[in-house]
Amino acid sequence: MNTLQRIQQKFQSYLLNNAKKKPLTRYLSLPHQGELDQRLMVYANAYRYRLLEVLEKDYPLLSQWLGEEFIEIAFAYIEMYPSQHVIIIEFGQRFPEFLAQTQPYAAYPYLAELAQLLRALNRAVLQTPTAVCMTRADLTAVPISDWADLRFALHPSVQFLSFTWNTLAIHQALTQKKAMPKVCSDAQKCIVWCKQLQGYYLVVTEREYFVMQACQHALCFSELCNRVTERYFVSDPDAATLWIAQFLSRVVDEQLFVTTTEVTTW
Amino acid sequence: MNSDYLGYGLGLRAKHYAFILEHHPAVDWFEALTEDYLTPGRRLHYLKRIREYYPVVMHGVALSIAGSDPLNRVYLNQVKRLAQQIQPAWISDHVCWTGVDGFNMHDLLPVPFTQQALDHVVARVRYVQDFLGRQILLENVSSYVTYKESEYTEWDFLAALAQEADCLILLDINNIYVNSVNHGFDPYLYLHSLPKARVRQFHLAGHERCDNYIIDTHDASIVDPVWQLYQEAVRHFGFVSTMIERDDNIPEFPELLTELNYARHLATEILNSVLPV
Repeated sequence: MNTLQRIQQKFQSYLLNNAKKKPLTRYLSLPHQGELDQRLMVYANAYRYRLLEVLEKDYPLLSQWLGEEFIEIAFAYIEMYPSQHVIIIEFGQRFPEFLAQTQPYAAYPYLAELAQLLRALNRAVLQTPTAVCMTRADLTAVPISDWADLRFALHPSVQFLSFTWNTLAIHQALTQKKAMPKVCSDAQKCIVWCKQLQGYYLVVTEREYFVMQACQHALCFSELCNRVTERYFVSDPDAATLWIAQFLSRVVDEQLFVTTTEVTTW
Repeated sequence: MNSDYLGYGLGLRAKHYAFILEHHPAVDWFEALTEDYLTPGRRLHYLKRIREYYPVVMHGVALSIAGSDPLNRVYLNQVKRLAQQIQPAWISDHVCWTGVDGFNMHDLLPVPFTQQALDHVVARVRYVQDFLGRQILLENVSSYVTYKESEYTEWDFLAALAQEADCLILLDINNIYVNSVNHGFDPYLYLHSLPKARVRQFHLAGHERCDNYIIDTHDASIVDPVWQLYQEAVRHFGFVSTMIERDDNIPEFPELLTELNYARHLATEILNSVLPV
């Protein structure tokens, strides 16, 4: 190990251990005024507070809801998952997982669910490509003869989320600054995506969720109809086709599909 | 005057995207933080739109050119890809390290000014420049500690690095001032010790004064001693592209523009009186 590497490891160890180790007097000169400890604390504080700021930006509603407690949680996360990311905006990506798996936070699973939702909204806007969305006009231009083989490509920002608590109601109350609802179990599914550079979620039924996942797996329209009929419309296949067409039109209006080269009929 | 002289610029911040696109303010160029645009999404969308109207330079914080870990090839590829899309006037980063053993402190940590460190950084800068196919600019960072083992002054280290690696210098005037207070040296000696032809850009910024040291916070207006040092830098180096960095407590765009226009005014007075235009 060369000197440069040794110095950097000692310096970093000091920062990661939250300045609990003895100062690096062996390597550092005493400042011409003031104390070395004081100077080193600038680095130690900068490390923790810079990452805290990232978490506050990624999870603003959690921060707003939990107040001082959020800072404690964030510091616990920073200690457990020291950053190994080159890009700082990726630092908070394991925060939902941390909340779900680490006591005492795991005892409040709606915190992890809310973090998961906020993470998905953030990711949709800041970490997925923009794309040309399919329009209702694109859809109506498809010849009837091509519908059976038609495939729907999801917007690259689409993410599927399932909740067991009333997380969406909590999110809504925090967003609209209304009274918080009582936390209760409430199985819900939603789809998160980016529309016109803003993050949105769409609450969907089990059946709608199934259709969107089928689209993600590149099933064509005829296969989609068959699967939905088998699962939800055994006694009325025609109703399945109509329902799917209506749902897909709504999804097109929400800009959840994009035009791709695979959809050659556009 | 360098052929790639850009004039007076500002740091591109998300808060100002809409204002810039709506008003096309009289700023000569923008400096985009490289890491903000390495992933696709809203930020990159805005950068591309703003690039249609303004020259842009890329300014990174994650190269870790003095780090002892191997250079991150994935990151370098991302930077290269972004540069292909944005066509920046230049790419810059800092003379610092950001982490070791796979960790990242997301800070611009100080380098011991030793011969070993110099040789290490020179080799890495050459590699990066070959990889990117262009010269890069490296910026002097603010610091709060110095190393016992340092064999060079900060300015001699920077000058030697630029000459030996054949790279350019992004001279942060505020950082020189901050370090002169923190480490007790003459900031004017620093300025006059650098090779003129290597200095391609100036940074200006504000800071926070503590009891007996300064923290480089980039969250306040530029103070008089930094303006005075800037004036001396303009006298010494001549036409150098100048920009104001504001990373926190970011004011509305017109306020920053007023501060930038003050820099333009100070520099223009000097350049008109001292140098042949």
